[in-house]
Order: sequence, then C-alpha cells, then structure tokens
Amino acid sequence: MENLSEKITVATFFNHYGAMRMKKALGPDALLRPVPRLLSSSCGTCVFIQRTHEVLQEILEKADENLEAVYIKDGDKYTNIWKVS
Amino acid sequence: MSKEKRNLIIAGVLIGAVSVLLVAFGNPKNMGFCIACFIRDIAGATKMHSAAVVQYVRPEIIGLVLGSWIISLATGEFKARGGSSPMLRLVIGAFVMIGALMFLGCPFRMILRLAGGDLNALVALCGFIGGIAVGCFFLAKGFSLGRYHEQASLEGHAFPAINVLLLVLLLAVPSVFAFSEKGPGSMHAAVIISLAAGLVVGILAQRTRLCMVGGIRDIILVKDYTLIFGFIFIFVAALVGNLITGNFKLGFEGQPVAHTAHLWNFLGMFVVGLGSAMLGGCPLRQLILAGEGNSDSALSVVGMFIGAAIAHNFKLVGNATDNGPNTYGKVAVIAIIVILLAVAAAKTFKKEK
Repeated sequence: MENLSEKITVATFFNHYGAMRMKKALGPDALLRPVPRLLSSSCGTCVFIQRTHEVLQEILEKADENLEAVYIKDGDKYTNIWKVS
Repeated sequence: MSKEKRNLIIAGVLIGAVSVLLVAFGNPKNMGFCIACFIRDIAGATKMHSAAVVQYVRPEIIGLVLGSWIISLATGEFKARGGSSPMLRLVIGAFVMIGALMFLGCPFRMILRLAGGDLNALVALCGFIGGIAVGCFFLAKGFSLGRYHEQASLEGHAFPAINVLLLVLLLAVPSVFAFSEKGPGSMHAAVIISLAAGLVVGILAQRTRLCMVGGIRDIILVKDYTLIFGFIFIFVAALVGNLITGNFKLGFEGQPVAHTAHLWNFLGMFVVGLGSAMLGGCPLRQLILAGEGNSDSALSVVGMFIGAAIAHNFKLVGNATDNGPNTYGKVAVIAIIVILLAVAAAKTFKKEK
C-alpha cells in the first residue's frame, strides 16, 4: 500500500487494459488500483506510481488512446496535471 | 480502515435493512429489491409482455434512477456521456436480463435470497462468480467496448426524465398501466415507501459506487477488497433482518419466487456475471450510472427492459411453479453464453491500431 505522506502520481484510463499496459510499461513502482472515489464516480482501474518527478512525461510517452487523466496525490488531495482533450 | 470501505459498510447495512423493511411493508419475500424483477414488472405494467402475475410500475426503480440523478446533479458529478458501443450494450443488457430471469433475480436479489436462507442462490453465486471470472479473463487480455465521449447534457437527462414521466403517470393516471391482481406483481409496499426506499438506495449507491459485480471483479483483477464490503454488509444486514422478522428459511425447496433447477440457476447467473463484467457493472450499477448521465448505461437498461419482454413473451424464464425452465429457456441461455463469449473474444482479440 502506498505511503500516504508521500506524493504519488495517479493515472486513470478509459478501460482496464489501458491501465494494465501502463503498469507493465512503467515497471515495478507502478501499482494497479481501483480508481479512488474522490477522482471519479466510475469504478475503473487506475495506476499508482510511487513518485512524481518526471513521471508525467514518461506516462505521456508510453500512453495509448486509453489514457484519461493524470493526477498528483498528496495525502487525500488530488491535483489534476493532465487530461485528455 | 479507508473512508471508502467505511462508507460501503454503512451503505451496505442501510441497504440491507431497507430491503428487509420493503418485504415487511408488502414486497414479495426475498425481493425487497430486485432490479431484474422490477424492470420486468414495469415491462409488464406497460404491456410489453402479458404475464399477468408480474405487472407493476415499481417505484423502487424510479427512485434509484432519480436518487442518483439528484445527488449527482447536487455534487456536480452528473456528466452526459456515452458512445461506447451503445447497440452492443443494449443487446448485452437484454442477455443479462434473460439470464437473471432464468435464475429469478438479479445479483442484488441473489444476495437477498441468500440472506433469506435460499440455498439455490448459493448455486447461482457460484455461476455468477464464474461468469465474472471469465469476464475478467477477457478484460485482462484487452476487452473493451470502447471509450465514452462527453455528450450534450440533454442526452444524459433523457433517461431520468422518462422515469419522472413514469412516476407522474403512476400517480396521476394509473389506469393506463396493467397491474397484477395476484402473484409477485400484486405484492408491493405503498408507492411512497417504495419510492423513498429507491431514492435512499440510489443516493447511497451513487455515493459509494456500490456494485455487486465490481467487488468480485476488483478482487480478481487488482486484489482490492474495498467494493466487496458493500455486497457483504447487504448480506449481513438482510440476514439479521430476516432472522428478526422470521423470514429466514434455510434450504433449497419451497423458497419464495425460486426454483431448484441447479444447472439453470448456475448458468443463468453465469450469463449475468459475464454480461455485467462486459458492461462494467451489475444491473443496479447500470441504473445508477444512467442517473448520472451515462447514456450507454441507460441503453443497457433499455436492453434489460426489452430482454424482460422477450423472456416472458417467448417463455424463456425459470418457472417458479413448474420448478425450472422449459426447453426454450435452456436453448436461449446456452445460445446467449456462446454469443457473449464470441462478442467478448471479438472485442478482445481485435487487431490493434
């Protein structure tokens, strides 16, 4: 489980497969998690990445059309840093 | 314990209690809520089918949709969206309904039947989990019905508006509907009680994302045990409520609105599990999402409505009095399983762009 005191990156997707592929692409510090209720009323799968430094760029490089949004999670607070247009 | 888990436990207990109370107020036994049965009853009341014992405009369904609609508008979560394989969702919705009517209950009623001691629901639960597991296999291999897109807000309001119309007609000119004089359709709580129960459960389900399929899916796919807490605590609360009200009867035989054809209970709920995993949520969840403006979910509910009419008009349902399905029903369920697997495979192993 993630350490709540540290900032982490959260990427959400339009489907489970998108999240799975991103987890694989990002390696061992990425975790598949249910999308937090604070982020969405939908109940899909997202990816938690245990760091924030230069992660967005890495996510965007590896993303396919299934990526929906990226957030920075700081405790219980989520800040949107990217959203599909 | 996380806030999400705590809220699911509270919602589960409240929903289980409301379900038992609805039976005390007049709903059929182990049928405080049943999304499949209630949509089927509405299909009967609107004369889409003519099974005389299952015709009633169930205010619970209207309440669920309007509860989700109101709370999502209040919290700013209402968002008109859709365009993710709408026709396929409609067809899968119809299949889910035919599977549910083979067992005689949606996943919600399956829990309530279990909490009433109906062991046929345990057989069905095995089929349901099996169906979800197969669905998860496809999800993990890349199954998707495609992404949704934002839509004009009217698109999202259309389905809740239909429910408002249904409620107005029920209150103002009930004579336009057909109502059962005997059988399950004739057994119901007062309109205001059913509507209030639907509103409460609709709000709770929207806030917590409660889903009978999602809990099992999350355990299989991401080993997360949060959503299953809603499922478990509905069961616990309804079990306690049934024990208090004397509605608990353990066994296979003589259960209310049920049959003991094990294979068909299993396969019926296998269809519901697989179809719901493909739709991304159980029938209750589809109603809640439809209330939030998801027009894809609204169409899957329309599919269920059509499926209910097909199931009764073509006699595909599991029959509580004849103890099980007839040949038509068996052939339909087998054919549906084959078609669902074919659709899942086609939407999984498609060529990547």
